[in-house]
Amino acid sequence: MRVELAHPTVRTFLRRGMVALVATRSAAGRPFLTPLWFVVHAGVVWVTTGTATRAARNVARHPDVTVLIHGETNAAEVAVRLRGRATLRPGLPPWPVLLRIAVKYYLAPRALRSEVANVARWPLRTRYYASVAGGPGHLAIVPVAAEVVARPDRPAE
Amino acid sequence: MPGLTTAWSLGSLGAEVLRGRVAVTRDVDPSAVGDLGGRPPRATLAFVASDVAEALPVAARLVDGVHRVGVPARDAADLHGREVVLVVDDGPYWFQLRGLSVRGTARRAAGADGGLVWFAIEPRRVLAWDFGRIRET
Repeated sequence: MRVELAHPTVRTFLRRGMVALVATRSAAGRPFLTPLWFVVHAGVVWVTTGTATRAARNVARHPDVTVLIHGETNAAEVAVRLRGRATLRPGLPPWPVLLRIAVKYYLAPRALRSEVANVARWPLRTRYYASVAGGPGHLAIVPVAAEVVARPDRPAE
Repeated sequence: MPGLTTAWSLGSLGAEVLRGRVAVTRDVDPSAVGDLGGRPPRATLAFVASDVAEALPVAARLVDGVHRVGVPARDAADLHGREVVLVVDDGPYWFQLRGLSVRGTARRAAGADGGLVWFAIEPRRVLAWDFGRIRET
């Protein structure tokens, strides 16, 4: 069901969703799909990724992307699908976006518990990020259409 | 001289790290995330149609080592024979993120379980990750 971007379900999923499945098309026309963290700021969906990752390279050639946001519980019966145009930008996102990422994924109570429980792995994570292809970058995705779609694994019974 | 041996080993490891030769990975064997083959929290199928990358929520099952996806009939028409990417994944926070990606060709499969049309994926590449198991390689 196609809906307005301001539809309450879309807004809820954009606010509460934790992982966006970002579908892109390669230069050779092949599909690529990657789960990425996201935040919404000023009407734009922001996701962080290296500037030379497959998703980033695909967007540089083909900016039309599809983003699927599932409900974060097994009980969710629908997902939200966005069509949008993405722009690849080098470096870190603007500070309001960074702040939203920090609050959502590192400082929220459950996030903080996970971070503290894995404090011994932080150095490994730092080295992992340092090895990301092309260095830090991000995608700014401007949604142009939204749909509420049924999740086939979650029949309304 | 176990002490010297240990010191040399640690020194070599440090040098390798400095040179960037000791990589860090979150990749795991697909069997390590085998539980996602049941009823994963997120199951998504991507393919290209009309020059645009599409993404569908799907039902995903691992049956006898074969990844199967179920989609509503309205989404099934164009899938047979297409290159697809299935991602089943879980977790909201960094050290909880894990998943499996299967790239291959969708082939119509028998059965209509759950009123869905089912496809088996002939895999060309399978990748699995678990950020909670990040480690040096």
